[in-house]
Order: sequence, then C-alpha cells, then structure tokens
Amino acid sequence: MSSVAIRVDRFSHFFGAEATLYDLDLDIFRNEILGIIGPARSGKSTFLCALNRLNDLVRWSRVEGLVEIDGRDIYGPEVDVIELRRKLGMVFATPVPLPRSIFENVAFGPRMAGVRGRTRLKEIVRDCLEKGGLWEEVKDRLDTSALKLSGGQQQRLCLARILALTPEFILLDEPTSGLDPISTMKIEDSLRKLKKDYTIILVTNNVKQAARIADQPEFADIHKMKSLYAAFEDKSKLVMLLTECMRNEGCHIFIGSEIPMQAIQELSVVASPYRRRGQILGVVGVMGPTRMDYGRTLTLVETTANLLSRCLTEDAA
Amino acid sequence: MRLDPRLTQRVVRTCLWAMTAVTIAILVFIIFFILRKGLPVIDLGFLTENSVDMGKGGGIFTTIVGTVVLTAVAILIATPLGVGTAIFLTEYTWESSVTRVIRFGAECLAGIPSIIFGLFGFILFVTKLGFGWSILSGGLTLAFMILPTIIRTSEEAIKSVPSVYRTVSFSLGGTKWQTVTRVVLPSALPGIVTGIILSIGRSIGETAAVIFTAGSALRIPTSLFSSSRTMSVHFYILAREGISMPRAYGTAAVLIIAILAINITTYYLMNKFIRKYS
Repeated sequence: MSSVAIRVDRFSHFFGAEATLYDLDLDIFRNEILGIIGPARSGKSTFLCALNRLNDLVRWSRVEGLVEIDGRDIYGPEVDVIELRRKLGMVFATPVPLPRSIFENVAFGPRMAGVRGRTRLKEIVRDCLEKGGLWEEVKDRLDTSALKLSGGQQQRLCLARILALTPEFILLDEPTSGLDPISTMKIEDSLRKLKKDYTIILVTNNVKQAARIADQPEFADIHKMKSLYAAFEDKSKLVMLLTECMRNEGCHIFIGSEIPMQAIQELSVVASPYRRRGQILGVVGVMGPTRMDYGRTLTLVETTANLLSRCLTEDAA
Repeated sequence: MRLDPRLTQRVVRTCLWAMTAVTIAILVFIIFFILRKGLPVIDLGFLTENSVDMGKGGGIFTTIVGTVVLTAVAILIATPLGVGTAIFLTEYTWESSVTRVIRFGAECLAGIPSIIFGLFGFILFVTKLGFGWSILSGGLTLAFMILPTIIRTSEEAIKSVPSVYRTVSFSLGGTKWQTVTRVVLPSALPGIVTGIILSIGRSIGETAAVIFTAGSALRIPTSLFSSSRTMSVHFYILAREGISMPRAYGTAAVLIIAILAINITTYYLMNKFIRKYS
C-alpha cells in the first residue's frame, strides 16, 4: 500500500489562454479513495479528464507540467492513449448509455479491445453487471435497449461498463448528482465493494457521500481520505479557517503533496501560487498528531469543507 | 384600435390551416391527376415489354431498367464520397476557414441548375474522357449533382449525434475509427439514409442532366458504356415529340409510384432499425 500510483507535479491545463487547472501538485496512492470537492467550474472534471487524456478531444486544450502514472509520463510521446483510457475507467455525471442493448453496452469496451466470442463476452458481461449491482435486475432482459433503464440503473450500467475494461483506476465525476436517494445508495454500495480492488477518484459535492463510501473499518487509515479543495481567492480566509480547524481538532493539516504545514506562514506560502479564481487550490489532507479514530477524522474533513463552502458563499454574496 | 387577441388567434389559426390545406390539395391534385391519366395505360405488359416504334407501342421495360441502373451507379458513387466527406468534415477536422469554404462550395454546388451539370457532364465525360453517351457518363454526372445533398444531410445527421456518445466511446478505449463506425454512424444512419432517399428521388426524376450524358437509346443496357433512356427522359420525349400522351402519363404514373414505394419501404426499414438501436 501507500505506493504512489499517480503523481501530479506542477500540472496546469489551459483552454486557449484560460487556465482551468493551475500549478497543481498531488500524489494519489494505490487503493486509496480520493475525494475531490469544489464548486462548479473549478476544474474538477477537467482534472479527471486530464488523467485519462479525454481533454485531448477538446480544441485548444493544452497542458504543462507532469502527470505520471506508475512512473510514466502520460503526456509523453510514446504513450498509447487507448491503453491509458482503458486503465482509467470513467463514469460521467449524467448516465450515458449508448443506444444499444444492455449486453452490448457492457461488451462495448471488450469488443473494441478485440475480445471475440459470445461465451467469453457473456462471462464478462455477467461478472461486471454483478459487480455493478445490476445483474439481478436485468439478467432476463440483457438484449433490451439500455435507454429503457431508469436513471439509476443506467448509471450502474455505466459503472459495469467501465469494469469490463479491467481498469486500475475508477474516475467518478459526480456519479450520483442526478439520481434519487435510493439509486445513490445502490451506487455507493457498489463503490464500497469495489474500493479494495481499485484506486478510486471521486468528484462529489457531497462530503457525506465521500465519507460514506470510505467508511469501512479497514479503510480507517487517514491517508486514504483526502479532500481536494478548490476555488479560493482569499487565502487569508482559507488560512484562518484551516487554523481554526487545527486548533479545534488538535491536528495538523497538510496542504499540497503531503507537506506538513504546521505554521501559518508556511501555509500561506504554499497557498499563494494558487490565488486564481476558479482553479483547484491544492490538496487539503487531514492528519491527527496521534492516530484519531476514523469517524472523528471524517467529521473534521466535513467541518473543513463546510467552513470552506460557507466562506465561498460569503465571497459570492 | 387594438385587436382582440382572441380574434387574432382565431384568424391566424384559420389562415395557417388554409395554407396547409392548399399545400396538401395541390399535392393531392397533382398525384391524382397523373395517376388518373396514367393508371389506365399500366398493365403487366406495359411494365415488362420493350418499347415498340419509338414508344408509340409496347411497354417501358427498357426505361425502367435504365432508370434503376443509372440511379444505382449514381448512388454507389455519391454515397461513399459524400458520407466520407461528411465524416471527414465533422469528425476528423476542427471547424476552420477551410471547412467553411468546403461547406460553402458544396452548398453552391447544390444550387446549380441540373442542366448545367448535364452540360458539364457532356463536355467532361461524354466528349473529353470519351465515355460517350453512356450509363457511366450519366451516373457520374448524377453523382456530382446529388453529392452536395448527401454531404449536407450526412453532416447534419452526424453533427446531431450527441457528443457525449463520442466521449463515452473514447473513454472506453475506442479509437477514432471505432467511434465513428460503432457509435456515430449507427446513430446518424437515419439522417444519412434520408439524404440518400432524397438523392434517389432526385436522380430518378432528373431529365436535363441525363439527356445530355446518358443519351436516349431505347435498348436494354449491356455495359456501363451503353447509352440508356430513363423513365423521365422517356416521358419527356414522348410528350415533347407528341409520340403518345397516354403512354407519357403511364410512365409518369410509374415514376410517382416507384418513388412513393422507395420512400415507404425505406422508412419502414429505418423504423425497424431505430427500434433495434434505441
């Protein structure tokens, strides 16, 4: 564990002249769940799309800096983008089933990778639908159109569809933002089961969701839950808030790539390069001086996030 | 004085209704007129026998064959070219001044009167390239004539495929070509086929361009280089030369029925296809 799977180093992303991600440093560890929280248009989705290079599809998209997966620069010249995207399965905010049958949706990735043979595909489809928590509901109608499923079922289908790629990472872009509570619960159930086999990067505006998904006892290690926070113009407010958290909860707060920040001065130094509106600011990690119990840590993360969002609202008003 | 909105509403409604009614009435009248004049001439012999005495007697079998072959050649040439161009313009390039020029050119091409295409085909294919009055010359000319329509409709159809489908396909490890063939084209197919049907209709009905390039021989074509007469050309000659008005109407009726039949069958097949894919 705790080996770095994805290393982001001074990474910036631009659409034309506008920076969408600016000078971002971040380590993502194998088998961790990274929660990314932030207001709309702060670059959360862009960050996910930078990891699997979906941004390449957008005109005028340009990157600077380094993203390494397993020690290899993914923007390097010899990288096989197709292979890379198979490694990082992505679920989008709105469920997008392709206009085909349920079976064909799941079999789509394997088919494009060259898997042939109905029996082999059937195995894959069944396995992935089971992992995605959809098998029981659709096993008798695999050949009906995926568009006829409900929104929640469609999203689970999308999850099953990326599992069929046998990815190492799962990127989730607000996967439950458009779903009802029951569908949300089912998706979260599946994710909870999946997290021991995959590294999950979850974009959500719901801190409680991040907490719920990471609530297994064996995941009580604090390294596994981080919150990436975004969009701060006024660093002094941020510093103040974080200091308050530190004082109240009696712990350190890490900003950036696991750099311990014990003094406010240092904190502001790290925060200053990020002083641009609408950009991911850095990683807000939380770690107790002694190992705290997991519930408390989550509360802390949640408090921080709540404070930060309140601060944002005040900014807007 | 202000008008009562409810009165305006009623007047507008009546006017719009009347416009629709007139349009449909004209359409129905034309079809009814042609069919009433033409249907009595049509029997099995009319459809299956060769013309006798320049079309005064016998049937129109040769012209049916001529129409089918010529249209088929035109469609077979224009569809890959047109759909390929549309795929290139929409999927393989970014929108730029070059694509805009290409698109503008295609649109201008669509507005050129067909007789100009006929003249062009005559000069290039018939005389310069030495194909003579032939199916090949006629087919190529028709293909160029319908190309803009196919490009335009295919482009619109491809553009209307939600871009998230492409994103999903790429995110699932698809290459550009896999995305085009497995996601974009199946979704765009109804639109593309509509364009092809429109083009088939135009080719079948085309007279001016064909008379210049495919000639008007009343024989069953034996190769791509034989001259051939289409139904519309046959109709034109019968009526123009006063050879036989009833047979001209008969030909016209067959033309109309054929186009209707093509449209109905294709839409039926298309619906079946759409139901399968969505």
